[in-house]
Amino acid sequence: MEKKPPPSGDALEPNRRETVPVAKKEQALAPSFLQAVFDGFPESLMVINRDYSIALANRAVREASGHTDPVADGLTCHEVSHASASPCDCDEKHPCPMQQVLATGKPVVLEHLHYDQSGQPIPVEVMMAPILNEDGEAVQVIEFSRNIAEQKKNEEDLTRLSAAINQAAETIVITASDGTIEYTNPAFEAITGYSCEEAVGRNPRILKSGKQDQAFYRELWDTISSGKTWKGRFINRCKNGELYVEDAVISPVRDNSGTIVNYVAVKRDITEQLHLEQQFRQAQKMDEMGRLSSGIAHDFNNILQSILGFNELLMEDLKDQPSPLRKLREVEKAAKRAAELTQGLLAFSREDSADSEPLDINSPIRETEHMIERLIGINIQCVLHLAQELEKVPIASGKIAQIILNLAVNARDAMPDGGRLTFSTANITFSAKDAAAIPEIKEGKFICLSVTDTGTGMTKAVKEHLFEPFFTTKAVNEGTGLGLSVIYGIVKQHGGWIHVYSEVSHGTTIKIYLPVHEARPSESEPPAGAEGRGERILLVEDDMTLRNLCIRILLGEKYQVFAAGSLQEARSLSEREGDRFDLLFSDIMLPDGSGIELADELRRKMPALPVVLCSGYGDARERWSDLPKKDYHFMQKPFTVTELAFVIRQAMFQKSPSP
Amino acid sequence: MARILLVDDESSIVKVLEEMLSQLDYEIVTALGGTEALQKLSSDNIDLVVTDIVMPNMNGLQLIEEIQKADPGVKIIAMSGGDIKSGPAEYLQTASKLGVLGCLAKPFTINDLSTLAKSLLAE
Repeated sequence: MEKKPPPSGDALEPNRRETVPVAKKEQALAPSFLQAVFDGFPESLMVINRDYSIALANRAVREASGHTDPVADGLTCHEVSHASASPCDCDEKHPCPMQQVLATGKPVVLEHLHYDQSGQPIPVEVMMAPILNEDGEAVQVIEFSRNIAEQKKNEEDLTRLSAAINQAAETIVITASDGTIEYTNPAFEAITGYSCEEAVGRNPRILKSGKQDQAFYRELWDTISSGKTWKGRFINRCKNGELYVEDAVISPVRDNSGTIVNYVAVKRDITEQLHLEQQFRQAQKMDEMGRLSSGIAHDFNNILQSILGFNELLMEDLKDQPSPLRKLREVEKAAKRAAELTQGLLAFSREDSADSEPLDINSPIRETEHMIERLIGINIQCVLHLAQELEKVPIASGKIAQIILNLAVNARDAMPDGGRLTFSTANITFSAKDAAAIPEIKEGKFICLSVTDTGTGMTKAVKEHLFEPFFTTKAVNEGTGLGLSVIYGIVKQHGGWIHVYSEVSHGTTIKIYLPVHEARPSESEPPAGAEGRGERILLVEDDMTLRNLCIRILLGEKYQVFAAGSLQEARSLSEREGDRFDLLFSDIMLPDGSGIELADELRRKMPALPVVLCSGYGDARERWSDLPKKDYHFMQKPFTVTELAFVIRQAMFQKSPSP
Repeated sequence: MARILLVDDESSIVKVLEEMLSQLDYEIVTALGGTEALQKLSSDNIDLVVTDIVMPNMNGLQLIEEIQKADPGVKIIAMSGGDIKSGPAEYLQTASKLGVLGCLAKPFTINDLSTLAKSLLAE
């Protein structure tokens, strides 16, 4: 390799071949001393001439590069640090520090890449400073370089870890040992509504829903403060009032001395999963019951065949003996009643597809009206609200008659002191958006047959078992417990579903949805109302699933939602928010009172407050006849996403012209 | 006299049907399962088979298929304690394809059975 001439001027150059004194010769250090100082330094240290040749290299350089004497060998910095015969081909990310220092005359600190003898890159941090001659000209540079491969790896690991935490679907919360929140990841904000800034410095009890007792939290704290990991399930409350269920693992974090300095909680929102599981279990249970009923019916029919057959033969044998014949007729009657029961069981489990002609179900309803009136007696008023131009459904007229007579009998029994029985029909279209948002419904065009009574209503426990065969709340011998099972079978057989809404002491609405003839998914979404602009809606609904659904719909429509599960909660929330709402959207039947009562109260404070009330009852116009007078909007459950958005927007819009 | 083969895994059903049909001057042969029924079919000169559908080992549909292979001229009535009148559509279609001429849902009366048997045997 050709040696370049050394630069002129005085400079520190303990090169054994051309030793040049420093600025003042009397201050010059002995090269051996300087070499010893350099060698004592654990990181790479070199003095480099302007032509890249090395004037001095310490032990660390020699060891790292494998060159025993790079100075004597006349090697350059690029030969030693880059295993390259030519100066570095530097890029913007890794500029040559030598060129920068010589150009600016100032020291630099930068990250750079060196290469070992095998050509493997080594990330290094380079600190380089000029060595000036008496004229202030940089004649040499001194380079300190430090291998930062380990540091870079740690940084990459940290970056990866940070990205994983930031992108995790699980909520991650880090608290101090006293429980104060120190960190939350983005998933925490997405699920709870609290940003990291809002949460930090506060206690996780901001999420407390009141669904867990003190003993629950005490056990949690006892576990983690004793250094163990706690695993469990919370029902927590989001910032907007929505409840959610999460599985959590909370572990203590210790410092080097073993003291607990932090707790880290990793939590997974399982609200939707639990809801789907519950639906799946219900569907599975009904399927199993179908199979069971079918099996029982089959065996019973075999037994009945023997009983009825032999009975018939006996009656023939004894046809001239009136007394035993009379008794055998009683056996026959009883056996035939049993046969009717098994037919009910078979109807529940039936799976064949409907092949009836399309039918306007208003016709069988009108035709059976007189029969219903006779059946329910004079104390119960029968009201029909039948839709004009109702779409047709492929179902036999007799099946509809069977459904409404069965429901009428149940309604009558639920109104021993009289009341009102309302039948209504309507066309309804569910969009793909509705089907995605509301469990149990399907996309397409349907008719809805709604039967509402003002009777005793039913508890949640009764509702859960309503369609199971032989489930009855009636006294022995007053009902078979098969009426609703048969209806369930018929509706399922025709591709429909049933929605039940009931409140104890207030009555029941049963809605039956049946797909219209050749129903196809609607090709286009019904036109949606304009989106909100952050208007504040007070939402009051005691059913957690429905409340969560409404919150999602309204947030999706760009409203701010403040949710409460009872009148009491709604009052507290309203007080906390300074009675500043743009709309009240409330269920009417609440556990501690009426949504109408709440609306009246809030209207006194906010006279222009638009009010939208909802209920599962299908006879609102009779039940709450004064709602229109108060200018309260009413919406019947279950409603579609589009309906809810439309009614809310309509209520907001009507408010605008008022002074 | 027409000869009828009654097939059911429930012996009480076989007995009651035997009693019912013997009153109507038919000669009755009975079997408690598919395999026995096929043996009787080959040894006796059977005009009509009345068979249950849901039976262990060889079910009614398999039996009907075997009967049609062995003697396509034999008339067949299927009966079941299940939902034979409006049961799974495929089930009835299969039975119909296999050549079943009548179906009876248990429990049925002497009259139901005799009317159907008479009409088929008269053809």
